[in-house]
Amino acid sequence: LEIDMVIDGVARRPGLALAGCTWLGFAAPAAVAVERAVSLDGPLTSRVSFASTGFGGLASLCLVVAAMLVLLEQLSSPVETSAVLVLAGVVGVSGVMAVVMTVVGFVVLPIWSISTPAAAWAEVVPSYLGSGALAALAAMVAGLAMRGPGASAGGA
Amino acid sequence: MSDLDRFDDSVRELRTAIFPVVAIPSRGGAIAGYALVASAAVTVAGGIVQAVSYHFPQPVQSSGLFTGQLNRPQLTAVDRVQLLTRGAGVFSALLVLLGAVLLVVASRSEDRRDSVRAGGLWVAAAVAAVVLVANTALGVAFVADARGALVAGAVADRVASILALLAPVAISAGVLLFVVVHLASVAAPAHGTAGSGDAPGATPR
Repeated sequence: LEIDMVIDGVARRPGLALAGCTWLGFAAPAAVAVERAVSLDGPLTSRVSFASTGFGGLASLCLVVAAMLVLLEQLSSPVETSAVLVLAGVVGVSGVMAVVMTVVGFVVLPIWSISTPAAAWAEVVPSYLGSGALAALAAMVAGLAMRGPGASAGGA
Repeated sequence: MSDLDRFDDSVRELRTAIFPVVAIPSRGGAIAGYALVASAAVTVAGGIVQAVSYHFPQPVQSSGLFTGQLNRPQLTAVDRVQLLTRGAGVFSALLVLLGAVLLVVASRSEDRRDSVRAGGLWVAAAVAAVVLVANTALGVAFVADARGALVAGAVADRVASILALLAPVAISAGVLLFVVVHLASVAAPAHGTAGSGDAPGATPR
């Protein structure tokens, strides 16, 4: 019966299921980077720096798309469902985490590390600032979706 | 109306699917959706062509005494699937996702049976299905410890490789579900939506 309810719920809100799948598109590369960073030999700074690579690029783009899909779902239905709020919370927390990892990995750690050449650091900073901005946008959009349909309609 | 018809209508009311409806220019959104789906289809087609036609360049040994051709390594079936996933990867899945969502969101209630838009959604579903099948097959090959010249590194770090495949698999599965539910709801007769208190854009599954 529970499986039937889940299948029926997914068929009723396919956009919400799509948003969840898109969030997995963020979570999978981030998990890969963290898993590889854990198994890496080296100092903590290089591990954290390596782990932060998984939160940039297409992963942050997936997060923005997931946040926008959640907001669309919130705007589409006047009925506030807990699944939308939970997913918005997950996406929002992921966005904050991605911002923190991007800032730590590509701004703070290279400044501390004397082994990172400034030229190499300057090359990668712009692309990861973009990723950090996308993650921040995802967190803001998810926050808007968490506040409910009224706030979303007013703010969007 | 018989009791059976009334029961059928009440079941359809319970199973109404909700799709987002946003005030964007319908024609512009549809054109952007077609362009995104088409670019994803071209990217996947490029991956298919590469998977079918790729071969390693012929290595040539040249020295003072001997100049000749060495045996080139053979591509296995897993190598071909790996080449296919270069085109049918997470980027293609994301393109087809955005295209499908735009095509659905930009549709208006009066033109839901638009065959061109339905064709675009079918193409999106086909592209998503190729991405899903290719990446799932590669994941199964990693689990089965498959051998291949191009996948040796990925098989060595099996957990990370399978986790990495989760992104295109999840996105393409979501797109497939989204498109199939939408097309099924468009195909179904519109019983029970008017005045049933559902959101705008709600259509029976």
